[in-house]
Amino acid sequence: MLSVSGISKTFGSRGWGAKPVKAVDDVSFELGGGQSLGIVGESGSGKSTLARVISRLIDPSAGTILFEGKDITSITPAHFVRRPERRSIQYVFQDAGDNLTPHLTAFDAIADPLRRLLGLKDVKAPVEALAASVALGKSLLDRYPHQLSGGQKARVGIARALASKPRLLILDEPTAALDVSVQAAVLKLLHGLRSELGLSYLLITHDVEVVRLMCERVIVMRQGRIVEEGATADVLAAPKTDYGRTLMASVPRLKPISTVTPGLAT
Amino acid sequence: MLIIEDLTIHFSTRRGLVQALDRVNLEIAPGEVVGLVGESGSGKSVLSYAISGLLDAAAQVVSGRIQWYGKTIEPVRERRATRVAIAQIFQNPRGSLNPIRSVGRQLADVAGRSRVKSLMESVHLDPVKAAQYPFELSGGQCQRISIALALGCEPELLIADEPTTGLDVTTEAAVMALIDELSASRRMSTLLVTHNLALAAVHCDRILVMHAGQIVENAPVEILTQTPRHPYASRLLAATPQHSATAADLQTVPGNLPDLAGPLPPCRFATRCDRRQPDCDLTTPPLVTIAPNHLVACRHPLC
Amino acid sequence: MALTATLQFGLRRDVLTSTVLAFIVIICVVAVFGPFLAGHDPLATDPANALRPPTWVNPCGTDQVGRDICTRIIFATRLDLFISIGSVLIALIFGSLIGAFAGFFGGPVDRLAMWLVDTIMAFPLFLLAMAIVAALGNSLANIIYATALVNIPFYARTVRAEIAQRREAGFVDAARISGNGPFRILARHLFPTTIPQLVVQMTLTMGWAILNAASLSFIGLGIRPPTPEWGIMVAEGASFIVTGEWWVALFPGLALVAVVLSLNLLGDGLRDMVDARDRR
Repeated sequence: MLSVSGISKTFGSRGWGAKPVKAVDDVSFELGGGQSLGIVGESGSGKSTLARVISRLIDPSAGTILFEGKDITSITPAHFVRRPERRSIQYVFQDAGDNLTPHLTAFDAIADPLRRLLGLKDVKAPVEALAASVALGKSLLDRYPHQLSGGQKARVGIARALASKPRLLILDEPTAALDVSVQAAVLKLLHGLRSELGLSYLLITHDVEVVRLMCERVIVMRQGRIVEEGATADVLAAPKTDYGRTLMASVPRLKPISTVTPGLAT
Repeated sequence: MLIIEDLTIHFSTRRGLVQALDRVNLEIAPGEVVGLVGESGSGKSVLSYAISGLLDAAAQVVSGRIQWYGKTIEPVRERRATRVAIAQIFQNPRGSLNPIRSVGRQLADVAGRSRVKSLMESVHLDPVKAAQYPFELSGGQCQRISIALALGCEPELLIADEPTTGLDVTTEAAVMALIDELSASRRMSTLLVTHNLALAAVHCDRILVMHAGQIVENAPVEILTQTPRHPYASRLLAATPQHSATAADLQTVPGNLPDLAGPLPPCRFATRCDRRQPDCDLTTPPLVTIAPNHLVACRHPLC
Repeated sequence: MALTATLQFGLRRDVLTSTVLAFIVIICVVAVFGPFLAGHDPLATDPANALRPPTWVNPCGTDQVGRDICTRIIFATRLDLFISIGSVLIALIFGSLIGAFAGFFGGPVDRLAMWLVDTIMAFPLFLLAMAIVAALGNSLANIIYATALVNIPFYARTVRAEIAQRREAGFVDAARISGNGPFRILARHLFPTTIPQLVVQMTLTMGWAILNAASLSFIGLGIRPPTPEWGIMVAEGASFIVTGEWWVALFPGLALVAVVLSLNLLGDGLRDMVDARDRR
């Protein structure tokens, strides 16, 4: 369904003497329908830039992206807004609260893609249905972002992303800023939605445990390049590179690794 | 060394009276590494600030006290008169350093110029970097400087308030290894305040779990991570991704944190607890010893 | 909405700002209803009663042709407020448009807009207003246009700064993903975030606009006698101070000071509220 080949992104030099920064360097992978791929990396690994390129918010410097057989790289971000593909590729942002327009209610936030991408005029029923699908109470729809908790804002973001009935959902650190119990609820929700709606996920995270639970396959990025890839269970149990091994060893563990069953995201 | 007895702190705010801490009991012995685990709003930062004497004037100590080697110390900044050997490092390392002063000068401010080199070496930073400014250093390096600043006061207790939140996991491992090494070599006690139960499990001897301003369980780390007795501690453990084999297995904690400015039941977890009984609503369950070194604040703990 | 909530909270806490706001509301009421309630005709001359000190009949005294000063002050309120609101609205609309495009699109659009704004700001603003009115002629409309023009830079810069700061924010990307084109993002998602700062700017500018109009009239440009306007009244009354008729200049001057001061204090109070909210 999604085929990414040779994607690179270089940010131009700004100011005097600053060198261009190669955020993403020759990244290629495939994602099938209904599958979930995790992209793991630390800060500076380029994972967020890669996500923004694939979602067509920014242009790559090189490479191609094929979505359902069609080359979407040639469409500029400005034009992509009006294309039907915009409906099919949606994005769940890191839930820092920064991704909800501060003066729009939760209702308006979820209704926005319904109005813009689907052209609906009567949005009340679909918005309420979406809110129900993410277990967001109806009474919360009239609230502004600053009146919502972290978990509630995350749910609004997910409902908004699902509004246009996408086939591919790109999730950029969807639970990074959430408490552990809220994170558990949101991950469970996302997991359930994937099987229920037949979505594909591209899950960007720094948290190896989240990837273990949510993704069948994983890519590890470092300084813009892919350093590990494969089935999640394999990569987590036996990384091939030194960096991969350091990464896995750095995660604080409640129990020794061998007694934790590698997760299956089905 | 540090004994907190029945500490209750309220804040008067425009929303009303926020009952931030409720009868907190805590003891730290010399050389111990204690973890204080709780989610946001649990009061763990308020407690750490109270120990360091950093609370602002809106805080009122309603009951209880903090004792340092037998002497009572004040949680509120303006009223703390005694100097104690307690140091603190914070979340967002770059934010806790002065952006317009080089790190070497900041260390010299605290410890004197002659000690800058040795302090930087003890946190495994090249002393050449003393001339650099916080924006030139990475997050991990800034946190090492913060630790060096804390060490400059020769503390007997180091309070680490979410020291690695926001740092990469490899950096986190390195910073925590440094804290472990320093605690051991200097016989320094550490209070690690964090929402990451796994992190506390790896680095601490003992863990206290906080919920809505109350300490609900206090146990050695092996016991807490295998057989927690308080319903909240147990659910918190079950919600940790590492504890589950699949996403469908993840357990959540039902309900929401109670509003600390509103009316509160005696046991603040009662409204979210599936083991609630009528006697839970009578008075606050006291922190009782149910096994050596194991305290639980629950009338119907798990077996 | 979030802004009204901030206002309601802030006004309850800040006594000075709420007092000042109440005073301004009274001024507005005077401007609208005063002329119907005033006892005298502002233009009726009565030479026999010229230069009378304040009495019960004429609470502010009479001027050099026997007109009741109090009535003239009340009528002038309407005129001065009209000038200030008119020029602020025009400056707001054009300044915001310029600033919004400059802040959002950046690049050549930004450079052109800021060149325009910087050019205006390079002139001493009062002299610029004087020059415009002198060139275009003395009329109410020209005063409003001149005052509006010299105020455009403040609005343009405020809006540009606010929008440029938020241009890369998550919710802007989210709006793009939701299918919003650039103009819709600017209008619906970004511009409303500038409103708190704009409201502060408006209250501060209104005070200056009144002073500007009064100053222009004082030097003989703009409003011509016998139209009652605070600046003209102060100008006419100035020459009588040395002969002991203090009330002719004092009362209009007090009115001017009171209104401008109130607007400035309101602006300061609002700015404190808005900044506190932003910092939260």
